[in-house]
Amino acid sequence: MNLAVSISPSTGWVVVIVLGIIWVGLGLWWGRKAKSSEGFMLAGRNIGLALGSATAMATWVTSNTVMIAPKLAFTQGIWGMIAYSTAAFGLLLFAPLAIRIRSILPKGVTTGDFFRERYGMLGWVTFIVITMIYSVAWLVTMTIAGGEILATLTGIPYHHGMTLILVVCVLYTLFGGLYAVVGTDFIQSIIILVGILAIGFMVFNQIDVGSAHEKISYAQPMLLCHAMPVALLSFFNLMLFGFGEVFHNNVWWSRAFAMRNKVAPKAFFISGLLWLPIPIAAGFAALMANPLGVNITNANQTGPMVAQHVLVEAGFGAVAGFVILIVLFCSIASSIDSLLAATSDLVLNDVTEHVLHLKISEAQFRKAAGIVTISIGLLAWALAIPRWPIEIVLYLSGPLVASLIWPIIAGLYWQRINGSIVIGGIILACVLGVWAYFSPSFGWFTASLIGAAVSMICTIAARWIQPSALNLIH
Amino acid sequence: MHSLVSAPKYWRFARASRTKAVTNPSRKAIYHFISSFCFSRSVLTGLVWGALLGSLFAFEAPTLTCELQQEDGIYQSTDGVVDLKWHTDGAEAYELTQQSSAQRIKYGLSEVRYHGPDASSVRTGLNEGWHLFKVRAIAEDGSISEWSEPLELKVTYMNAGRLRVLLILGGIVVLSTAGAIVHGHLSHRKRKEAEA
Repeated sequence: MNLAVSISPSTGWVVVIVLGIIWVGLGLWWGRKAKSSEGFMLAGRNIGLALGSATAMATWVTSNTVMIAPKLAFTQGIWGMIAYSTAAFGLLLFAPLAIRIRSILPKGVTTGDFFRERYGMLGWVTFIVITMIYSVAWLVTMTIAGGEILATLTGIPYHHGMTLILVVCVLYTLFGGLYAVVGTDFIQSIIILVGILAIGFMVFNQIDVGSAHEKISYAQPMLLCHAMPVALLSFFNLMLFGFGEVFHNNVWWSRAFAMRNKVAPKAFFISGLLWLPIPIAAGFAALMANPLGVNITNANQTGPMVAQHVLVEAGFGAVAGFVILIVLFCSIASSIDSLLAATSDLVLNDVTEHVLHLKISEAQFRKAAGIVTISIGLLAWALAIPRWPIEIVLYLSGPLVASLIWPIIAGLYWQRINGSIVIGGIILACVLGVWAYFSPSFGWFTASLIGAAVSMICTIAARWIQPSALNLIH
Repeated sequence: MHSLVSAPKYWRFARASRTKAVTNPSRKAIYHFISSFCFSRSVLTGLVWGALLGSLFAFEAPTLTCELQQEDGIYQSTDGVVDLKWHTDGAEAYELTQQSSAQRIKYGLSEVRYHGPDASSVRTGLNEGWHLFKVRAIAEDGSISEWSEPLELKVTYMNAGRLRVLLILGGIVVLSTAGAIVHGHLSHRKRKEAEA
């Protein structure tokens, strides 16, 4: 089936504008609390457990979760479905890291603070290059996904749709800072969780498991094979990609800094547990595409295609488009706003201060934050216009972010280390990981694994080869 | 074509004129006339049947393609996934079939994998080995095109030795990462307790 335009463009405009007004209104309302730079960037370091768990969970539910998780289940079967859900372990393992981060950097603002203190300017530059490639690629893919989803579901032209979604997110991040991001994430997380689990439940109700198993074994036997090579390797590859994403990115560090002292580890642990069933539910629905009689014409749209089919079959034909649009809009907005806020913080705190040597006063802060947020939004918009296949850059960033896993662990917990070997290891891991990505002998499903493995070996070696004491660790 | 129609008496007669030795000149002339007439009827019938069959195959067979790399004219997949696309003008629906075999020369029976209006289909979970896909188009009036040129696909997964090494490596990296975090966390806690 082709994912049909299920609601008219005018209705689509109304839905998206109403949602946009709600998010911007809430952003303005919550933004009143942000009276200082710390209030704007870190929500006053006072986020509680409920909001903390919800914002971490909602941020981690990206358009990738609702688009790529079903694709993985549909192309790699049961192992593919489980493989995507292993990204939850990134959040679960970040819980103990958050305790340590708060302990050694009680006044920290960004991940850049940690890399600069621990590995010097060279380490900081390496980190900034990697995280900017990853963050901008993630932001642009979300923007493109938003435009494409609106075009597919409502018929709104791509350029109008992606501009609209980006403008809404920039506006409420601009007005409310992290307060607005966390608040809207809370509502969005509830909508996403209920929407995706409800669709998974409907699929379960519409199929006979025995018959579905028989059909898949007959037409797509490898999807049920316990030893499918690609899926088995994806299991480790995606898990390490997820570790790299969470451990290094300022989206997560800024939340660790923003939560109350003892809340952060609990919040990350709960968010990991809450997130875990989402790709399983989305993946299960996609795995049933063939037994449900859904012809997938574009693997990237497996999730929405199956969702539309089951909603129509369950008698929700008239509202199917609305439900899918609202869930997808929330999942995309919850990631775009977090990325805008965290990347702006990184630019404001790290680049202006340590590269441009500019000190921004409290009075100038909101204006500067506004300029940076709008600039990043404009950059994302400009890169999204040609609809480049920038998701390739995002996937390519897998080995890049995986190469930072061990340097972060070592930097947080170890007392002595050879920084040069660690940085050399990161660069070597990036090169070998990217090579593996393109190599026909290995493939994309091994890139993050190879990046993480090379970096791990170099980091362990750095502990024993001429290590020097580092002054940050207490 | 004779086998497709019932043979009337003069056909049998004409056939006899070709198979039996006929010596009488007058009978020979009659046989020759009837034989020529029957030959013309055969040609005519052939033309009628041709026209009928031609109307059934009124439009061109679809062109079946995919974006995978080719080796010796055979598409290669390393993950058991193929994104098939096809097209022909004037089609109302399409029928996609798949034949599969672990051995190239022994394709199994053809199975219909899709029947409907879409002009593409992503096939996943394919076994290692050779797969042959064909598609034909169906017009609104029920006429059917000829089958497309078959698309031959070879699925080869990563070899077991390399897979085992990478899986072991994956297990070591993941367990070491989790172990390093747990160890670091416990050390941190112990240090904090000692400080307290």
